[in-house]
Amino acid sequence: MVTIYATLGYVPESVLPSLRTAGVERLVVFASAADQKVEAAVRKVKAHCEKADIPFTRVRIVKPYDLEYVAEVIKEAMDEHKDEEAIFNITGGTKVMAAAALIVCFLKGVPTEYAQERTMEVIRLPLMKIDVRSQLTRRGKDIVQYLLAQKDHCAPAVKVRKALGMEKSTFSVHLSRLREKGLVTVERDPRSARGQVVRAMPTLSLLMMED
Amino acid sequence: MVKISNILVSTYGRAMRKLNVARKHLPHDRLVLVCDSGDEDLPTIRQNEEERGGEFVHIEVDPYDFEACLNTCYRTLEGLKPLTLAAPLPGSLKVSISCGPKTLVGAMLFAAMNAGVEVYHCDVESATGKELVIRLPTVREFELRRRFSWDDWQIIRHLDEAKEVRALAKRTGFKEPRLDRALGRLGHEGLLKQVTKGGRTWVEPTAIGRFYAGLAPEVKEKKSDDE
Repeated sequence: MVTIYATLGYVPESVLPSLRTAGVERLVVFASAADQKVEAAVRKVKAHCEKADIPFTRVRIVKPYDLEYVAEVIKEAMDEHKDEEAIFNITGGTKVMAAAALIVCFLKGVPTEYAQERTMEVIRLPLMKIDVRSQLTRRGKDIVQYLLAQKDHCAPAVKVRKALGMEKSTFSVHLSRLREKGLVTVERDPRSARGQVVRAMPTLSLLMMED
Repeated sequence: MVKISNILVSTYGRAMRKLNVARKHLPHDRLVLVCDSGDEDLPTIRQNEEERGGEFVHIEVDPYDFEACLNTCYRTLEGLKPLTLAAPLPGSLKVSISCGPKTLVGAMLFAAMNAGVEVYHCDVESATGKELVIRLPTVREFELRRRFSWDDWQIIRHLDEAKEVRALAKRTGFKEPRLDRALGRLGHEGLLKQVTKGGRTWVEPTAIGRFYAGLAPEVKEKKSDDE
């Protein structure tokens, strides 16, 4: 039995090809709130599900342009059925919604698919679970996790190093590895002539999400 | 002659407003647009880029053909990487997936993840007019293709077209359990499907399987370089 997840925008037809998958158990649709065209599309998909006797759930996306928020909502909804087989159709909705869904699916190892916009032919993207945490050293993870716990995900370099009890040279090595991967940036501290501030990549928390 | 240190590669599809947000917030000396050839905005974009002293390159692709998009995007990024190596700071090759059909956008995101290149989504919030620049969480130097084992690559390199399992066993020299394990793994990853026709089992590559089959010679070359 398969749970189909889908981002939905104005085109209900974008979701329907996924419902032809064998053994569909339910459909969970993520659609932005307060848009009449989206509501019409939701109604049409819901009616189709009722005819086909497929349980339908709609999850409202209040901030369809906020990548982190959308990813959190999607992850939370998917966690409700985490032990079941799943496929995510990312054809509809805003590009931010589709990108958020794609990222969550990469992290969870859930296959995704597109319905080609012209032909509605379904193209499956492979199950490609990304475990970025396994790519980091223990010290690297400590630095990232410390930063993610701070306001605005940034802190003075000295403060990070002292809080984690690291030697200067050790801290410097791990920090430069994180910089090379593009996971953190180091900026001049506006409050101190010689100080530096370390900042985590804005959406890094998504990559560090626990499955 | 423009000295290239920052390159912005962007998908495009009649959304100048979104592209302009990307152009404004992601500094570049060369703009590479991946889109179809019929877009009437292209001459204007070229003129704008040249007026500000930059370079403009158009890479033509059918934005609704996922496989063609994936190959074009990946080859484009891999081709541009060496140009930015001489740049003083890392991260000078950036990708924007702000506009264009989702088929093209998805292919570009997937290609960028494989190539380990930073990806951004730029947009204008319709209700407030606020410009958004969102860095998608891709990791530089984290290449998805490195996830496959040597055994996997022996199979993948034959995924250019459908093949009978027996023929695949002969070509790889793998015994049955080893071949079954690799085929099961790659099937699970979505690179191939096994179908039975006339009492014989065939391995049929998916679009992604064919994409990785195209990468196989490069992976082999890189391995030899490393050695």
